[in-house]
Amino acid sequence: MFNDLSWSVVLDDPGRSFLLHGAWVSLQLAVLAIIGSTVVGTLVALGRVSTAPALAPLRWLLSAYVEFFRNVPLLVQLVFWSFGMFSLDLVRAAAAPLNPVYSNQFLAGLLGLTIYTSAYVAEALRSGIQSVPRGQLEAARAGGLGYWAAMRAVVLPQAFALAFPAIGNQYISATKNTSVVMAIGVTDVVFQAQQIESATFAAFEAYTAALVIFVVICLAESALLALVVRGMLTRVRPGVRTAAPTPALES
Amino acid sequence: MGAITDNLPFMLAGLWETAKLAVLAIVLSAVLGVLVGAMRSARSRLVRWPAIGYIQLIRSAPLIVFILYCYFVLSDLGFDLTPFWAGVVALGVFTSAYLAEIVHAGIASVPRGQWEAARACGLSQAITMRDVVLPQALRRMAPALVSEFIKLIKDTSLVSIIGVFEFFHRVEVTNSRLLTEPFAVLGFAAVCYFVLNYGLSRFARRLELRLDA
Repeated sequence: MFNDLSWSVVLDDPGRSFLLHGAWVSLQLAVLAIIGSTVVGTLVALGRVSTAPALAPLRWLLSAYVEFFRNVPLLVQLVFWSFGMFSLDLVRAAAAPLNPVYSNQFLAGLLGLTIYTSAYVAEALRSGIQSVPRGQLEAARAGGLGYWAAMRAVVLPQAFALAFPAIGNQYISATKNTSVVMAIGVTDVVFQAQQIESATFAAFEAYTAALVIFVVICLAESALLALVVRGMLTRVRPGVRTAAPTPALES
Repeated sequence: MGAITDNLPFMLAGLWETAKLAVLAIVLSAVLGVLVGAMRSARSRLVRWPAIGYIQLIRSAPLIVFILYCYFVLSDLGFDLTPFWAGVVALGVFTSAYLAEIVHAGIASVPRGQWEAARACGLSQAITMRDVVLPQALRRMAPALVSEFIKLIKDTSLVSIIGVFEFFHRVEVTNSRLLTEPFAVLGFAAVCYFVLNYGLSRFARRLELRLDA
């Protein structure tokens, strides 16, 4: 087969514009899921490290959230959101204003990916918060800050800096995991590669192109994350160095 | 509830397929992972660099692309694998790259003196690795290995895209045959995976506690 490779199926139109369109979809999905999962994951982690006795049921609920979404396959979750939740009229009506830009499949994929990743981000951040010495919070409280102000201004910046290598790995995993959305019909890179493959039978060329696109995106992302880690660490703890995230530690 | 009980034998038959897939892939990944991890820890560059290349290449690929690759490209190359075996190869090789990194870290955590003592007693490099270093390293790595295997069990659901008739594929077939009960059917699948994986992760945590003691 390697005698008659036909790279033109991916390097020339229409294959090329298929793949570029797919890459744009994957990139949007990755960026939005990373932002969303950071916000949700931070809230979950904050809830889990709370100590008020009245919040015990919330802590139980949040640890169930984390355990459940980490132990069920992403594909199962995506199919649940797209064929379960997005089959309800209520949800479809709520998503309707977004439909001119994003299809329901895209929104279901984004929702599933965000929630799945948020469970991992929450765990990484929680261990970051717990590795900030307890004295930091106590000193801030003694200095007159309220619990939330101390968390926001003193503990969280340090926790993010400590946990960022681990969180960064989750971002890279999330980027690679965007490829699973092709199973619910989102037109991402892998979906487009499969279209090219089924039209031309050039499996090697089509999937190699998809692979190269992912490798380029992930390498660029890990370089960017390494810069962010360095920036965060020098701001919070001058002189301390932690390992930068390596591409793709988790799948 | 009828939606689940009526289709229970059909769906559970897939659980058996999933188990076979997972066990075979775990065995393959463990063999390859220990081998590549040991190579990754070797002092000779000739041995170490191919291992690093293997690990980096595989870890930079999304699993779904890797599965499609194994299925379509291997068949183009003349290896006519059934979807099941293509799935085993894809999952096994993919996970082996992650295991190799864990094995490498485990080997690095065994004190240098163990090596030197074994070598000084006259054991060859390969025998030292097999009988002295690896057994100690494997014990330290056990929790990380279990969480990698849990990931593999979750990942078996992805080979449904190349047509392996495993548990989740059967659940999807059931779901699209009924069309009216997505919450019951998909919820059932989620609960099955959760029980399996959460049980395993509790087991891993107990293992961790016992090793710390």
